[in-house]
Parts: sequence; structure tokens; C-alpha cells
Amino acid sequence: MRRRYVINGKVHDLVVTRGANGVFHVSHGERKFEMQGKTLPDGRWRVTVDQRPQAVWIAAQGDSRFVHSAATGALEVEVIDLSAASGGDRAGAASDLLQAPMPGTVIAVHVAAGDAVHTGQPLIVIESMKLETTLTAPRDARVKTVHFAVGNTFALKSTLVTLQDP
Amino acid sequence: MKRIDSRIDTAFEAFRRNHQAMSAIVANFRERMEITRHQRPPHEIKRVRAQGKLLVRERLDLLLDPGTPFLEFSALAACEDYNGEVPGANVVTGLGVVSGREVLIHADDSSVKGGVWYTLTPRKLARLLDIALENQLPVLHLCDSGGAFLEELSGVYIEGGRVFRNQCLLSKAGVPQVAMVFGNCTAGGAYIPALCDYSIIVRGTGGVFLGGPPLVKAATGEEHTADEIGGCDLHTQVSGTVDYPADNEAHAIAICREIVAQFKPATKSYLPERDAEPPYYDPDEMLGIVSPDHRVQFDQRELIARIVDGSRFHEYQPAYGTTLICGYAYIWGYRVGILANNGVLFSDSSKKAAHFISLCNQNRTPLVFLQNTTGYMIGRNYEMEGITKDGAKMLMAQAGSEVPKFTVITSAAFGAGYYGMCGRAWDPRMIWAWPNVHMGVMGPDQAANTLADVKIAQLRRKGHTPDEAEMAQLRQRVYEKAERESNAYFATSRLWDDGLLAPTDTRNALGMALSAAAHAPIADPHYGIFRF
Amino acid sequence: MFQKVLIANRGEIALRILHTLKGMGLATVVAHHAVDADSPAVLEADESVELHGLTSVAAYLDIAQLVEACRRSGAQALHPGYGFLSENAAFARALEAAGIVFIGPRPDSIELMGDKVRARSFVAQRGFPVAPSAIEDDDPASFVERARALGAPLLIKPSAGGGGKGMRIVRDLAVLDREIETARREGKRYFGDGRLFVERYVERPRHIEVQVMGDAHGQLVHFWERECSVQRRFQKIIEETPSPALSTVQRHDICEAAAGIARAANYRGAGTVEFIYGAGGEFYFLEMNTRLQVEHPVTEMVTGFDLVREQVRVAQGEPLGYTQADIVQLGHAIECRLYAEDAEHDFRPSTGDILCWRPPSGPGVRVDAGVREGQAVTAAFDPMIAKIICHGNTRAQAIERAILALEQSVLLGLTTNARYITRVLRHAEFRAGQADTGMLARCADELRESLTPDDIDLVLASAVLADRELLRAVHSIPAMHAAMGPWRN
Repeated sequence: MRRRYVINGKVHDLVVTRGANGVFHVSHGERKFEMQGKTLPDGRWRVTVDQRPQAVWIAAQGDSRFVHSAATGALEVEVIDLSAASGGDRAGAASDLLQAPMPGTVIAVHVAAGDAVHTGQPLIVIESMKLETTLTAPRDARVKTVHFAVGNTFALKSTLVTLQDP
Repeated sequence: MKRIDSRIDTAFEAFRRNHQAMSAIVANFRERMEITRHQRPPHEIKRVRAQGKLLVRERLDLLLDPGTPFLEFSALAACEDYNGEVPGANVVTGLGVVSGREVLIHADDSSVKGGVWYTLTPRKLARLLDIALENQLPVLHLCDSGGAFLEELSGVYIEGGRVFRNQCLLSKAGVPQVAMVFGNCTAGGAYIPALCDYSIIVRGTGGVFLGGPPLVKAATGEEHTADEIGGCDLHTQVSGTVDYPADNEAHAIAICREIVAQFKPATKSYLPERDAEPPYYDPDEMLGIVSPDHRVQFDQRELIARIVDGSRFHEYQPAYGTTLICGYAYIWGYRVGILANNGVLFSDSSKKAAHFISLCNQNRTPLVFLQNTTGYMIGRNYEMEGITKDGAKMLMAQAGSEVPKFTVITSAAFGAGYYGMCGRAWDPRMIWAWPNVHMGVMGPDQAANTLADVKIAQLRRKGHTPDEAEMAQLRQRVYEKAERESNAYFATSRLWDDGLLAPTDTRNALGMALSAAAHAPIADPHYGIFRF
Repeated sequence: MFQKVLIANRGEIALRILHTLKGMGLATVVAHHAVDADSPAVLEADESVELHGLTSVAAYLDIAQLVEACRRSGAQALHPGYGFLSENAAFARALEAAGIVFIGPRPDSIELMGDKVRARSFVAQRGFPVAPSAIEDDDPASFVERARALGAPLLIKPSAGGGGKGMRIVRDLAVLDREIETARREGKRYFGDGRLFVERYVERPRHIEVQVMGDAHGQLVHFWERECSVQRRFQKIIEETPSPALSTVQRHDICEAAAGIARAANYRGAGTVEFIYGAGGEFYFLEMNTRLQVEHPVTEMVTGFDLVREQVRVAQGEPLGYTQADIVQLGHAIECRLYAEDAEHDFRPSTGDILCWRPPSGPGVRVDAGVREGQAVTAAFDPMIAKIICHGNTRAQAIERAILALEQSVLLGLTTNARYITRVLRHAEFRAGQADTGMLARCADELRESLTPDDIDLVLASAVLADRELLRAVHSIPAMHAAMGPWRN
């Protein structure tokens, strides 16, 4: 199976298949290796890469895997979901216009034109049918325009905030 | 289960001659496959790249689970038609594994003439969907076609309808389909994603519309781009015709894999009963056992010994009807009942076949037919014995059989023997031929001689008596045509089979087919009337 | 004299102080913000008192609440640790007014040394070495001229600053005016005070400090020096003792100068006098910290003394009971500060949950940490997670043990500078004992991470083993197909 891991900002695209007796075959880029692992009584893993065993501490949280070995110290591996990740090349264009998912009223505005925003940052809060929705930045960007002020009403699909490259 | 005792001597002169000739045939076959699959004019590749698209086999590489096999069907479809300009009829179909699930795949190949549909294209697709229906296998469509080839409209029109009908029946049977729209789905092609349970479209290059920009302009005067008429955002946000927008092809494929991973797990009607074991004898030796001349006999037990697990075979009725071998074996751990011709079919062999077929149906054993037959025996004595009735019984048994059947033609398939041994019309789940095979109503020299005799008689009636040279020339011409029309490539071009197989690929093809066929339930057998 | 002490701090120092207090048979109370409720110090203390504030930091800076916490818990003394209110004279006075013993120096010592300009002039007047300087307050009108007259290179410092904040190095006198203006603005912004002074800047300076301890009966000794030159943006990362830069005579001179300065100030309690040491052997008074320092463990490792214990004894009114001759250094000690920061990305602070924490151990290894597994590390507080202090017979052995200890330290869940420190310890300049305060900036390229392809493979393989979704997908391929592998007809 294919899997994308990121270590220190560098992307590694892996292909993992299984062999016999708990062995896995991994290839990424030009490199190929065989591996297997088993847990040790003290909580460590014995990870064997191409017949070389090493004792490793491994912890997992969300989309991150943390690995510590004497040779490498501690490193974080981010797991990227290929089906969710935007390809990257077209991500910007589609999501620079934040449109209203339903008609409603603006009840709070958290940013102003020129503000730098990061992915997930709350931009504007709208209210509709007794439901409050906070719209957040889909990517790291800079606010180009906020089209409505607190108290304004808007129609479905109205552009509420326009973003541009940071 | 006892291992077959091989009597082959690989040092034997005949073996070595066969091996050399058959190896050349197989090498030639593999070369044709390679060219058909990969050789494309550079300007076509450039065009595909300029459109930001991947080539069809690059898409398959991303879609299929790494480290898993892919059984391609009818790769050489249209190889002897359309001047050989339409490799594989512009589509790739096959059986593979995606997200751990066995699925069928239809992938348009837009690197040739924009991937337009010739008459054989929807025929190849309809056949894939027939396989999907019979085996209850999900289908993934990778859509990227220029629509119907304008010079083949009538052929495409009639064949195309069957594709959509099959899609609907698949859905009715609860078998999921997913479409990834990489390019255009125009006119009829638009129904392919629309009839799927899930569909994905690539922003910018994907388009689904009953009529493209030129047609729309001609019909209503409106001028729109393809994207405006039926692009990603229109269909995923407004019309709801397509389910998932994708930023690029890799993203679309990742979404499809994610969808397949959510499918209900398969329930299989049978499983491997034993651990798989490779054949004891070297499969490569099959090339020395079979002669390139289909008139030369060989013992198919030697082939069985190089296809089945451990070369073990339990022969049924070993002393009766000896021109037809019947018995049980295991292929990749699946128990199968094998029927293999060792010569012409007689009354006893026909009756043995009918009996064995009903036995295997009773104990739910899939059947494998290794065809090498020149037909049923003819002659007065045989008629008195009831050869016609007995052949009919064999056909009746074929028709009443409900277990999965698989046919491999190893050398010759002539006459009604082709039918009795589960030819195309008798619903094998999959059928293949080796590249050395010849098939037809009768053998090419028989055909040539008969036809030449008829022609000579015609000429004589008109007052012309041909001399030796003329007759030889006439026979030669007729023979060449008969030979060409009876060889494996001719048949596979017209989709008379699900592809040619190199002999050493037979075991894996059967293994994959057996595993795939288990997705459909096996009904109780029910036979018509046997003329006893 | 007092039986119960309140610790007004958190993290590793709170735990470290707690252990000494318990050893001395004193009752312990830890005042903490809710966010530290499950921290080791709070859990081990006899009692705890919750502090409230607009932010968690504000809670620890709330004088009134802390005084009240002492009253309510019946603590008769308070140990402020370092940072927070440890050098706040008003706090010390408020405690005294409430009849609570402040385990630290007298408030006027805090005030004297807290004002950098005053401290400097106090030290200079008594004949101790200070860097040639121009102090604005002396004559604001001629300040810039006097500064210019010192000659480049210069260091502009805010009077009210400390810890390296707001300082600017000027190498080209042409930009002096502009730099002074900028420093003044920053001084106003960070410290509420725009007054400045300018010092001659020592090139390739080394930071050498001396630990002093005075009792309430006029006795004061020094506990020898520590070198803290390995710094990044004025933040100390590695400290050691003895300093590899000093000869015996120089060591004696610096330590005696420090003791002299502290005596002149009639200093009581623990303190540290910091000096800038130049390549030519010259040293100048920098500042005095009127509290226990973060890096005090290295002194403890080589002298065998427990400095917190001495602080408490002094606060109890006891005489020191030992003389200078009784304080001997044995072997060498190095402290490495483990920070929650990402050395690969400009040392930006890292946050996350501590998923796995396995501190190192072994001969000569001491770990002062105040974290436990499951704890969340946020950007609210200082990013220091733990101190790893190693002792050896020789400097070389101490370095070897430190490297080993760092390699064995397991902290998973957020990025730390452990590997970065190891690279520094291995660097030729550090090994030769020649690191100055500019070393880390100068050697930044050489100190960059470089993982070998084998390293990456190991990490990828480990991630695969912990990737349940991937393993499930890999195992979902039917056995026959997996055995056939990537076959094509």
C-alpha cells in the first residue's frame, strides 16, 4: 500500500507490501528495505531493517508517530492522508472565496483586510436558523476583503471573505 | 492425492524442437503485447502530458494495490482489425486488487485517437460487465474518452446500449461501481459515471455532458467551454451528478481507493481448501510438450501436471472414455474438476464428461476445461452407437451446470467439440487461448481442401479446367485465408475469448479467476432433458 | 525556626526544592495554577494551594495571592525558585511585612542588583572590573558622544533589562544613533524604561559566573565558577564547571572578585555574579542575579553541596559553618538544558503531549525534571523541560556521559533540542573548551541535522509498525494475491 510520511518537512512516499512471516517490504524513492518488528517487555520495539535490529521507542498520537532510537534521537513522522490532501496545485484557486453555506446574518468578524491568517483560523461567524457557524481559513493566506460587517444579512453562496496568497 | 507421473524426456528431440518453436511463438506473443500496451506515437504522449493527464497504465499503477497481480482481459482486442491502429480497442480491462478487494477495472486509453470508441470498444466493455454480473465483482471505471468514433457510429450505437444495460443490472444486483472522470464522458459515455454508485471528477480536465461544446452550439447556438457545460464544480456542487471533486488525478485515485475500502466485505461461496503448492514439474516444460502444429497429439496429463498444485491429480474413470481426461486437482489451493481432451470425442468420452460435470455440480466444484479437440467422431458405426445423442447430452450438462467454469484452449478447438468443452457460448466465467491455438468449424487444411474442391468444381462447371499449378495456387490462397482466420490472434481480436495467455501464465490466471468467481453464489444445478 | 515552606514556582525547580525541603524534615506546600495541578511537585507536596489569574503566568506573579496562600496554609517561609517573583523586591518586602521568611537575599540587595546601571556603578566604585562604558544617566546630553568615544564594537543595553533582552551590538559607529533610538524604543516597550547604557563589546566573549552564598552573620563564600558560554540568542543551553578557559590564577581572581562584590553588598543568601571574559584574559562585571540559578546543579555535582539546603539554613538564621577552604571542586560537571523547541526550524517552540518520557540514568547522571507522561506542554510557560547534568572525573568523561545520557533520553510527543545539544557536545570547538557566546550562531551550518539514509529507513520502518491503518490495509490483501506478487499476464 502507498503511504505518505513527512519527516522534518521532507516528504517520503512509501510503498509497503507484505512478505512471509511478518516481514514487510518497503520502498521509497530509490531505496528498498525489508523490515519487521516485535514489542519488547519494557515497552520498546525491536525494529529490524534488512537484518539489522535496533531497539526503538515509538508513540502515536493523531496523525503523528514519534520515534526514538539511540542513533537518531527523537523524530516526528506525520502521516498524510492522500485522499484528503489537496493535490496542492489547484488548492488555492478553489478556496480563496469563502462563500456562505446558507443565507444568514453576520454576528462576528475576527479579521480585517491585510491580516495574515493561518489554516483553521476563525475569520467570520454567521448565524442562520438559530445556528451559529464559524468560517475558518482553508489555508495559510492573507485577507484581501471582508465583504460584510456585523449585522449585515447575506444570501446563499454570497462571498463573505476573499483571501489571497500570504 | 497422487502426483502425476511425468513421462516427458526433456532431452528428446521432439521435445526440444517443440520447445524452440513454442518459445518463439510465446516470444512473439509477448512482443505484440508489449507493443500494444506501451508503444504510442510520441506526439500522442506529448498531447496527453500537455493536458496534465497520466497515461492509462500510470493510473492503474496508482490505483492497484502495490505488490498484487493484475489479470488483463483481451489486451489484443482489435489487433487484427482497423488496420491494427486501435490497440486493445482503446480500453484496458482486467481483474485486480484495490484496497484489498478483488475488483474489475475498465480504463479508457486516450493516448490513441483521443480514446474514441470503435465498434469493438463497447463490445469489450460489455463483456467486462458480463463478467462483473456473472461473478458479482465491483467495477471501477477510469473514464477518459473522446466519445464514439464518428466513422463507426452505427456499430457503437448498438453495442453501446449493452454497456449501460449491464451497468444497471449490476446495480440492481447490489454490486457497486465507481467512476473516476479524468477526461470527457460525452453523449452515451456520460451515462457511465451517472450509472455508478460513486463518481469522482478531476477539476479542470474532467467533463460529463450529453452534448459537448460543438454539439451544444449547433443545437442551441449557446457557446460554452466544456468545463462550463459539465465540469467539476457544476456537477459536484450544483447538479449532484458527480459525488467527489478531485484536485488532480492522483487525488481522484486516492479517493476511489478510500471508497473501495468502505465496500461491504465480500462473501465467498468457496475458499481455498488447502495451502497452495507450486507444481512439482517445471511449467516451462509445457512449451516442449505442445507442438506448434495443432495436428500433433500430446498427452494433456503432462500439461495438467504443470498447472496444478504439487502436480497432484485424482483421475476419474481412468479406464473409460480415455480420449477425455477427468479428475480432481487443486489450483492455488482451490479444488477444481478438470476435463481435458486427449483426442477426438467419442460416445464414451461424451457420457463421461456429462457425468463428471454433474458430479462437480453436486459437490460444488468449479470446472476447468483444457480444450484440445478436433470435434466429435463421425462415421456410420459411431452414429449407430449414438454419438450425436451423447454429444447432445454433454451440451445439456454444460447448460445445466451452475458451478463456475473456466476454459483454456491449449492447441486446437474445432467443431462442436469446442461447444461441448465449454466454448464461448456456454458461459465460461472466463475463457482464454494460448497463442499457438487454432480454432474454427473445421481445421484450416480441411477447410482449405473442402473450399478448394468446391471452387474447382465451380470453375469446371463454367468450362474451365485448372491445371496443377493453378490448383496448387488456389489451394494455397484458400489455405492462407483459412489459416489466418483460424489462428488465435484473429479470434482474440474479435473478442471470442478473454485474452491470449502464455502457457506458463495459465496457473496464475486460473488462480485469480477462481478467487474472483467465488464472489457469486452457486445455485443448484438444473438440467434440461438428456436424450438417453 | 520555620517548619513549613511554601514553594512559589513550578516544573523542575519546584520539585527539586521540594526534595531538599523534605529531606530536611520540613513540611511543604506548593502554590500552583490549575494547569499544573497534576505536576509531580504538586502531587508530591504535603499540601497544595491553587492560584488564579487571567493567565497561568499571571497567577504565579500575583503577590497578594501568594502572601494569602502562605497565610492560609500556615507556611512560615517561601522559596521563590528562579524567574517569576524571585527577583522582585516588592514581593520580598510584602512577605516580610506579613511575617513570612523570604528564602533569598534582603530586598535592598535585590533592588541594588536589579537596576543594572546602579549595580554597575556600585561595582565600579569599589574597584572591581567593569567594561568601559557610557551611562546615559550620568549626563544624558553627552551620552551619544561618550558612547561613540568608547570605540567600536559596542553593546547597547537597557538599564531595566536583563537576561539578554533588548541588547544590540554595534560594530559600525555610523549607525550608532539609529541603534540607540531603536534600543530606547524597545526598552520602553519591554521594560517600561527607555534608559540605556553602552559598554565596550568584548569580541568572542565567554560567560563566566560565580556562585556565592552568604549567611546573616557576615560570612560569605564562593562556590567557584560556572561557564555558560554555549548560548543561543542569549539563552543558555549548556553550562559546565570548572571553566576550561581559566588558569588557576584566573579562577582565583574571578571568584575572589565575585565574593568581594557580594561582601561589599552585604549579601545574604544564594547569588550569582556574572562576568564577561575576553580572549586576552580580561574580565568585566556583567550583572548579579540575586536568586538561585537554573544551572546551580553543576556546582552541586562538583562540590557535593546542596545549595537549596544552604539557602534554607541561611534563611533559618544558621551560620554557614564552613569556610572557603572547605569548598573543593572534584571532577567536572556539564548541564544540558532540554528545551521544547525545534532546532531544525529556527528553534521555534514546540508543543504537544508528552507521550513517552524515559529520563536517562547511570553513573554520574542527574536529571532535574518536572514533567510526567501525559502532560501537555503548551506555549504558556518557558519551554525548558528538563536539565540533564553529568559528572565525570575529567571534562572528557563528563562530555562522554552527557552525550550518552542525551542519546538515552526518550521524550516523545513534541520536538526537543536533544539531538542539537548532542551535536554541540561533539563539535570540535566545544570539545577543545573554546566555545564562546557566539559559537552557536557562528557554527549554525555545521550544527545542522543530518540524518543518514539508514537513519531515515529506521524511522520510516518504526512509523509503519505504529501505523495501524496502513498495516490493516496491507493485511487486507488476500493471501493468494499477496503470494502472487505484482504478476502481470
